[in-house]
Amino acid sequence: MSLQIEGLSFAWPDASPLFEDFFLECAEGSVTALLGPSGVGKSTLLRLIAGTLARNAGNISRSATRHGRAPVGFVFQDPRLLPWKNVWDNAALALTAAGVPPAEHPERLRPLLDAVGLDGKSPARSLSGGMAQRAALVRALALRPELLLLDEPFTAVDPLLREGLYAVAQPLWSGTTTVLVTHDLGEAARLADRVVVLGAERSGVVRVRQTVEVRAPHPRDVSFRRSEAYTRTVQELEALVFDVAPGERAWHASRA
Amino acid sequence: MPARDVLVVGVAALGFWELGARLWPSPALPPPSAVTVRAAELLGTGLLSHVLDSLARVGAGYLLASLAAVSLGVLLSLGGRPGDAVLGALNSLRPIPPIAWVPLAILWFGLGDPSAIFIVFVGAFFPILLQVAWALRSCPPAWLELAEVLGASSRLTLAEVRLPAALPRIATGLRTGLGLAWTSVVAAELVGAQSGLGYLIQSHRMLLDPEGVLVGMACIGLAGVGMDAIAARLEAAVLRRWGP
Repeated sequence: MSLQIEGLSFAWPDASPLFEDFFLECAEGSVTALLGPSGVGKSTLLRLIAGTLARNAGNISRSATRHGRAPVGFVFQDPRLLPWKNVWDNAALALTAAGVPPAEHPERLRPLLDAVGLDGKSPARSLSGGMAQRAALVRALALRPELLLLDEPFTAVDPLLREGLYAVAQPLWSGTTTVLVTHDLGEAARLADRVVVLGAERSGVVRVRQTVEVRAPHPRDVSFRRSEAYTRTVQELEALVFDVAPGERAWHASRA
Repeated sequence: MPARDVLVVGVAALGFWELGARLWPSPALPPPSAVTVRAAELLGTGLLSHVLDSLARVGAGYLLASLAAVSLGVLLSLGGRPGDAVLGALNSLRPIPPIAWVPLAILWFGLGDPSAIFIVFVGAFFPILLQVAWALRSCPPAWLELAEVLGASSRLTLAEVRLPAALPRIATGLRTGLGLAWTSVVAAELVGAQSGLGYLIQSHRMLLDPEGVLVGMACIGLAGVGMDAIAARLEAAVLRRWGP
């Protein structure tokens, strides 16, 4: 499923516009990283795509969904597991909400839990940060979403755990149109096919500053960080991030 | 506070009371030893049935209040602005102490169990209702956003997210309501019943029997502490299961 955002406008109540006539297109099965400083509006854009925020104008269209697949899977920065449930029940809640019959839950959940190395019976409150984020990933992917939205899902875990999560997650979302919000240049270069660098004008309106293609096959393991494609992409992103055009806010002068 | 410390303080207080009552004897405040003797006498003449009558009224009134308050609390918390308006109106009744309802209760239900049960209901209903409504509205926005992203219906969100998240606070409301139910039944029995601990206190006051009055008060205190201990255990179990 491809994603097209055309002429999007959005403003928080009693605030100046955040998006005005904003365009973005994500090809089917691609991983698009939205890179930008904290507070620029990346997470807001993700919520507008998910439909949990109402846009003021514009169109967010997704191509026709295939039978049996929920349209959107969402992974937040924090795992948001319900602490009174175990891992299985947390993921099963997503399936129940999507109308998947309970008889189908095992065939959806067991392979994913095996892939991420989690026991479904583990109470959510007993999980470490990395385990909880893996459970959140299972919850989103169990829906077999056409579109996967990731809101800085690896930010809160330490670098070693993050490496493990990259290794586990990439094969799981392979082939799914994915939008990843991040402010980590290396993460964007490592995971994305295309990095969309967002910036804010002095008025606060978000613009696409530049798009950088990352041409390398998936999944990309830790050795990719030593590749020329990775080094070149990170350098290109650094140049974009620190080269502030006239009339734009600097990276360090964001709203956050 | 450790139970042993409470016991030490309680025994010391009784000791000072005994000593004071013997040094400065007064019929208005008999010593604990005399109260104990009176309690033993009353045990043979129906003290236990008074305790059981009070407990039965509390049980009935508290159960009805809990069911009504939890159901209404859930409905009002989902009811948007109309729900807020009804909750605000009901909140204005909350400051009226249960004993102020006694005359109306007697008019509506006559003397006896129904009046006392109604007073218990009134005493427990409002604190539970407000706690339930507040707890359901205080669901962490992050969990509500999760339910929205998952596309959960409002019924599923209530059953799987809002209600479980609210359970610890609802349990606290139910515990508070139980304490108020117990104090309400005594107030109701003081004026509108023919049995129970409130009636026992009132009848012994009229017989100028302060030992009997103190026996009734001691029973109220002990039963109240016992009920609160049970409620505290249940509340702790709910917190362990559904708490943060």
